[in-house]
Amino acid sequence: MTFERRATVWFVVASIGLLAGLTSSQPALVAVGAGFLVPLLFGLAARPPRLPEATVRVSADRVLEGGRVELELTLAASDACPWLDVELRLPERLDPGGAPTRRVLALRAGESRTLEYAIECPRWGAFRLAPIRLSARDRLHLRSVEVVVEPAMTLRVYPSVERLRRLAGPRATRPVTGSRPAAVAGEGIEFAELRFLAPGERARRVNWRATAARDRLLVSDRLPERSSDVVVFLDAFGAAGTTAANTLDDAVRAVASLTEAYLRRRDRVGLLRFGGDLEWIVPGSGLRQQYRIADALLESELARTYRWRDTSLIPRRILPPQSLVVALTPRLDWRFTRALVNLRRRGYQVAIIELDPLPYLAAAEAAAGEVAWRTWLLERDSVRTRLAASGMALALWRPGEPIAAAVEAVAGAR
Amino acid sequence: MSGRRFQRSVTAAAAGLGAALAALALLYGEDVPAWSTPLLVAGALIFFELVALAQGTASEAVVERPAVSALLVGRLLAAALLALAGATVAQLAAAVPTRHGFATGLLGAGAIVALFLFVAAVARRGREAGPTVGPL
Repeated sequence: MTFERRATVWFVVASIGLLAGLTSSQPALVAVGAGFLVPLLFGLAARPPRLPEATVRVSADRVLEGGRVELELTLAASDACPWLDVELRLPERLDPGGAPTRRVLALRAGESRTLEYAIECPRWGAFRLAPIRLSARDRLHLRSVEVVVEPAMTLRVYPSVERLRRLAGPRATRPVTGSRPAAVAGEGIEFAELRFLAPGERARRVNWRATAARDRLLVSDRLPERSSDVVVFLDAFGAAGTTAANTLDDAVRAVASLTEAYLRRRDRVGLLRFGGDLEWIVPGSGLRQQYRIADALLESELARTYRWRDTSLIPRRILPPQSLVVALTPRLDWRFTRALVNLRRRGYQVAIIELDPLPYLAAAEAAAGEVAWRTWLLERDSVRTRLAASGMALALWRPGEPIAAAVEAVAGAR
Repeated sequence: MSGRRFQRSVTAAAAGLGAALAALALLYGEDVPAWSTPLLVAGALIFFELVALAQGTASEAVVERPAVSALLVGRLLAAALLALAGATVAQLAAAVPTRHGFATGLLGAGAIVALFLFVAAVARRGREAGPTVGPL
């Protein structure tokens, strides 16, 4: 509990008034001093302020981007609280939806009151929801007591997922059933080729129509459905934009969409995040893997660091041989570009979806000057040409465009 | 009501009261009648409270009507009445005829010291009073 500054001011005025009045024999000054002294004594002797019991309930701890969460704060006062300041301190990226987050109310003794907040979640992330500051004052507002209730739960806002129809597929498949036509013929649904019947093959495999046309026994070979390994490589070195919107936001949403699409086709998907330190999720399949990657994405933040680890240190089980590496990067940091070139030289199939940072760099363009800006653009084009010439499929994705367009471009380029 | 509207109302009230007190001071100067001293003390207290309220209220907050009513009754009206009562008692006590000398001066100084010690004791007791934070 703390004393308000006014209590000190009243005490000083009362003291000066009494002393001055006694010294100068002025009854009026003594009256002034007494006038401030009596309410001060009354206020200090009165019952001190007491905070009510507070319980918080949140409607959900997981929500998609753009969703809404209801928060209920219930206050139960055992003593009268004539002035209670309640402030909900939301994290920066959560929106109270225009409703006030700070209220001043009065509670009678024994009264219970519930405050409701509708919190909008426009951006993905993991948020501690939410610190609440309670501040109560006594009747004359001479004393106050304040406490900040720290949050006990984490709200996970998952990135929105865009449905992708066509995906870039790796050239090699795994000997595990999946949804992707294999490169070698065998048992399956999709037609591969006709060939002559080999000794020992079952008669039910004979294509009688083709046999009638060729007068020799012919068999239809099919492409078995197999799964592949796909590793999504996320650039967390740097991002262009502001905290409200930047290339990392777009990249995370793209990773979520790609992960969902590949997992739906029963491929194994892993995540590799490179931002100074290497962080990864071992390739896996199924709904569990989707949640695992989604939870890992929520921890994606920019890594302002000058150290990095070589990509040759990545364990083999994280980057299976013949897997497809889909990289999402704004190509602002040379370390990530170098990592991609290393992966290509090691024989991996690499597809790059380049997030266009130019719409976010208007201020940088104005600061750099025309010559420096054009030189930088030319250097970017040169690097892009060299990456494409080394055998990497590359597509440019501009903010505001659907990710499907860039994925289609990469799929068509391979 | 919104915090901004509350601030504007309080500021307007403080400005009006301050102008009235200043006008009275200009009109009467040192010729203020003795019976008006407690009223002026109460008025000055209310003026300082309104100024403190205008500065201390956040504009983004929403102030509910029960809180405003409790504020008017508790912080302003009750404080003003207590100030009026204290100033009146002091004024009446000062009007009691007596001979002033060294003894009354010592008595007055002793009363002041006792009052200061009393205020400190009350404040300390208030700070050490039972739990002020309810279970959360």
